[in-house]
Amino acid sequence: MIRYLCRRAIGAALVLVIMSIVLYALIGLMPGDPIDVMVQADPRLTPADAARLKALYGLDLPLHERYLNWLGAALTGDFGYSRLHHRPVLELLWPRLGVTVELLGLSLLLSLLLAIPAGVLAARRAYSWLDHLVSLLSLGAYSVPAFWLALMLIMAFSVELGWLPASGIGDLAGDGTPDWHHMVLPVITLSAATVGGFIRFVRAAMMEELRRDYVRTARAKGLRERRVIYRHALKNALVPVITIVGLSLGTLVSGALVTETMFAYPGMGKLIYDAVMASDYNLALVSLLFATLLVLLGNLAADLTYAWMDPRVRIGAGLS
Amino acid sequence: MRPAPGSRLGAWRRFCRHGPAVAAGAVLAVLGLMALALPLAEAALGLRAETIDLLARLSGPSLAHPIGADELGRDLLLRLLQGARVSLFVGLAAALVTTFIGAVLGLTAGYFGGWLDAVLMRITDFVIALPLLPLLIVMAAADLSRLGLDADRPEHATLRIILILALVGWTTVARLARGAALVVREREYVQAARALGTGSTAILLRHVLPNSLSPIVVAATLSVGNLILTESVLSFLGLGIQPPLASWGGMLTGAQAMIRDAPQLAIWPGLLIFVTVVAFNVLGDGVRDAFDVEADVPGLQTR
Amino acid sequence: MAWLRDRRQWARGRAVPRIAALIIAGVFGYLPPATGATDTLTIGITQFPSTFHPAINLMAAKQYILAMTLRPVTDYGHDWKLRCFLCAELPTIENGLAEPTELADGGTGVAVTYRLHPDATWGDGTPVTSADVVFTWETALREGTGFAAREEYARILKIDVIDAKTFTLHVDRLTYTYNAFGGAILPAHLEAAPAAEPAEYRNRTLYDTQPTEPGLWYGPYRITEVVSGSHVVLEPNPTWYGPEPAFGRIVVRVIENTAALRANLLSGSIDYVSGQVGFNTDEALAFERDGEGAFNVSFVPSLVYEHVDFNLDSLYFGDRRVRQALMYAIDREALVDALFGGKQQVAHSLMHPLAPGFDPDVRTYAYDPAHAGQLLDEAGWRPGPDGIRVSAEGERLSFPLMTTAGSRVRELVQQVLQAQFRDVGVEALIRNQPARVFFGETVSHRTNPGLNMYAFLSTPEGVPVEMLRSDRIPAEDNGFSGQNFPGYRSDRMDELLDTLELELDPGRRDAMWSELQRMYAEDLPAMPLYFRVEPYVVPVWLSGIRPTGHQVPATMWIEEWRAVE
Repeated sequence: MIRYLCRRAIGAALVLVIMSIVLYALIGLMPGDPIDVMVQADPRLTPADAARLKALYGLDLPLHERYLNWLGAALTGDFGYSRLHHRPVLELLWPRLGVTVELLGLSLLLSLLLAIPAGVLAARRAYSWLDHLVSLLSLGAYSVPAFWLALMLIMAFSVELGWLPASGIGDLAGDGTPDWHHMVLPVITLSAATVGGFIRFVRAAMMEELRRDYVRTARAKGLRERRVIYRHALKNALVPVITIVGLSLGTLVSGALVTETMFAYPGMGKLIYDAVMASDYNLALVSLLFATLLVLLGNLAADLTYAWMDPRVRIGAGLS
Repeated sequence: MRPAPGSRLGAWRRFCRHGPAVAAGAVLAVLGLMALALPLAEAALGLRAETIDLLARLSGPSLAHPIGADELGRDLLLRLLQGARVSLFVGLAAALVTTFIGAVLGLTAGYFGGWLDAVLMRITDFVIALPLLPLLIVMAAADLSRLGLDADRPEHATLRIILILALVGWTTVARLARGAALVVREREYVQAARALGTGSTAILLRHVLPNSLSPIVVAATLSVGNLILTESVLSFLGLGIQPPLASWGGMLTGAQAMIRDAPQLAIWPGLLIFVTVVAFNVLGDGVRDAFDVEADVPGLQTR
Repeated sequence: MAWLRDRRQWARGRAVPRIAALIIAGVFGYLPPATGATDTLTIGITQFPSTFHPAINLMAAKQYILAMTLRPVTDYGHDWKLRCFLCAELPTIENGLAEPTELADGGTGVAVTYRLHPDATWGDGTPVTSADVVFTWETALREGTGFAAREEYARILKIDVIDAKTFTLHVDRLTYTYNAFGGAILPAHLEAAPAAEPAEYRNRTLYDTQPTEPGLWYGPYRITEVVSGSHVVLEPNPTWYGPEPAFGRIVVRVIENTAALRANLLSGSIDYVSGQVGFNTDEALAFERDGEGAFNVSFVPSLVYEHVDFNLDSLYFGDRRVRQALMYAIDREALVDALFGGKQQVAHSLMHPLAPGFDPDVRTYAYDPAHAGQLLDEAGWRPGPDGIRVSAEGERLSFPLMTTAGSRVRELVQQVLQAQFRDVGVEALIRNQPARVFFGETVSHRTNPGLNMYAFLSTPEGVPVEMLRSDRIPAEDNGFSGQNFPGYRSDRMDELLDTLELELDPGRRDAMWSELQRMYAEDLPAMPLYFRVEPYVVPVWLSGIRPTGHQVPATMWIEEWRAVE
């Protein structure tokens, strides 16, 4: 077990270093920098100002030198400052990370809460109209571009009906709206991207379990159908679902960007996008690496749960 | 006599019995034909998709513009058809590239096994887990002329989008192709070929590829819808297909601002994206059932 | 404040969906939140400021917020004339507070004496003094402190402190804007410690490490909460020396997507959208049709000059006839009417119609495609086999037309231009780039042989030296500095620019401005398109918002904003 965790840790570290090199190079391929844009936006800035600012921010060094400088500092735990915000990168990152983890967690929860009953139902009544309806709905939720779904939800629930706030993370107007109201629409939007896939997967796994001998035996012994399904079949069917949940984390982190933009939600996705667009190397890099780390940790958790739930898999042997 | 599973003829017959899949195929065929019919529609209306008529701006359906005109007075129907060309082309082309990358990596990994397999599959798992969209943004914003590529031509911009999109989907294909190759390589004919001293490349091309085709085709079909959706998200971020070319995603993004005044600008491209994505998925399901492939890897997406 | 609640709910929706909502809410045992009595004003903007330091990084969103918390010594008022904000009396040569001086090198400088407002006090009770001015000037000049507009301070040779509130600036040149002092003033008692190490100053300044420190602000409001990427909360500053502001709390919310911004306004999540950092003109026009009577929509001309730069050194545009032909080829009036409801004003040169020195009688280019074709023929570009003109050497008249990717309105305009060029046999290939690439590489390094479409913001009395002087053409040997991106060279223009700034007599200055505009309209280093308008979407219950039309945001008069029945 310890050896297994060590191997995973080394793997993750390697992945992160490779990621940082690739990203640094890619961001370096984007020409231009915010100072040029700034000159454009304000007539008070003179060219002398612009040249001085560029030298100040180290934009005149070659790319690989900048990377090595960065890596050296990062390895000592100094992730440096954001060039855009003039704040230590981690200080900017933590609150955003918290917001995004909350959003992702709730979306995942909602997806599973919808997908498991729906998947089981579809499997039990396989090929009935109900099954078709479920698969149509799950396909439908997946097939709408997320930004469009978000706008429709805002128009319906905030503008026309006035039930839910259209944006934000908390009660700013001081009118007593509970905080969770602000989360409803973003969580729904983000869940739509994953729930369809989950339903299909639960259904498939469940149908496979229902065909197995032990289910037939249990039924033959006269156990109640409900008990057969929820106690035995579902438990086994959920084992592979865990892997899929782990794999979908990357999708969710990606989806967070659009959701955060539409709902003015101060999360990681938005932070990464803005940092990339402003060529704030440090902030972009570190936040992307943290997002990757988050996903890797999620995968590890999924694998460990998998091993724990399925006695046939021994950590260190069956999984790597 | 029931055709043996795996035979192409049997697959076709099973596919034809899959009602929804046939319907989806028909819908896609109609969409494809409509896209091809753009020059005919242009001739019929006496307009081109790019013709701007500021006086007809946001006008409703009329004889000149059967379903109205957009915010520059361009004919909405023609724009949608042009969007169909671009969106379908981009989706299919990206799916092709996706399939190529995935098949090469998957088949190689599955056939050779050993450390190569371990490395390739580890990379695949890693890419699946990555938060891809931020990466795509970085790639879409990168300046290729710094690598000595000519970014000036509009078709290069489209090509870039296709390549970027292809980086999303190949993992599914790779996993399925590997699974198939693992099975095929143990078959007698492969063993026999190897005993005869046939080279690995030849065996891969002549035996492994043809016999692993079913899951690859299924994965390719399922990926098209996802790729079209991803293009719409790139458009939303201002990094997708560039004007004056129209893609459905780009049209939908532009329509957001006009949502209350000119809902038709949003409804049509939105509906077409929706129908196309649903159709490709249903079609994929049909193909999967027909080939009897265990391919329930959920479409990983980057929305 | 019951009226506030009413307006919000009214804005929120029509009766039928609301009744439906109530029924459904009843079923689920859930009632919509009671909008409690509040005197909060929630303003929506589209950008989050990356810093709150008044002198590091200049961006519209920050200026908008900081105008509520700080005031410059002088700035331009609604009449486009300079006025005091922090000073007590505007120094002029006439009232003796400013006087020309002779410099050591023989040139003419000026000594300007300002007296700060006697009651101006930082939020922690420390008075704003001449020492703060000196501290700010010294900090700005220190290497590495990262002040964006340092040149403004660099012109000051020395500062004489007369008393705690009075000081004299010795400036190295006498320009006609000699009495303008728009730079920030920093609190010496708080910022001296972070500024001790200049290279680290931008990372240690309290404006970013602790923006809620009351002592950083002396305006009508101070910042009490900052959630990065989401919102900023402001509350009244008790030490403010002007009239007391009406709102007990101001929340500035950042919503980047304008479709979402609009939905937020309609749903009552925000009360008001900033005119300067908010909607595009066409979105506001749509709102005018759709606002259900709850909003007043007005359009204020702004100094944002949208234009298309030629590259005068490319083989296409060296000939003035080609540039003029392209002007005749486009129908700017129709464009402005269709896309902006006629609200934006077609530009004929880079000078705004409201700016001092504006000359209406410059050469104009009405839509005339036939004349455009004739000019192109004369210039040697004759129609080729595919309809695109070719030169005698066989070069096609085909070039990139570039702008910033993702700016929807510009992309629309760009496509109209493309179509109209096409009508006269000119092919423009649209190629857009993210803003930083476009400005950072394409525009500033002059890599595009074709056309670049973008805007710049002029100040009411700014002389366009950077844009037009021949030594301000960015090139390898000057480190790509300067903003004369078209590459315009004219000895007469250089001379005009040099003398304009130093000319103190308004009459003679007007004559020079007039000549400058005529030359610009004749020579066309760029195609003038139009001046943008700032759309103000104001709820009917909010009064006192008076846009200026120039770069000073309406929040500079936030204390006049009121909620009315």
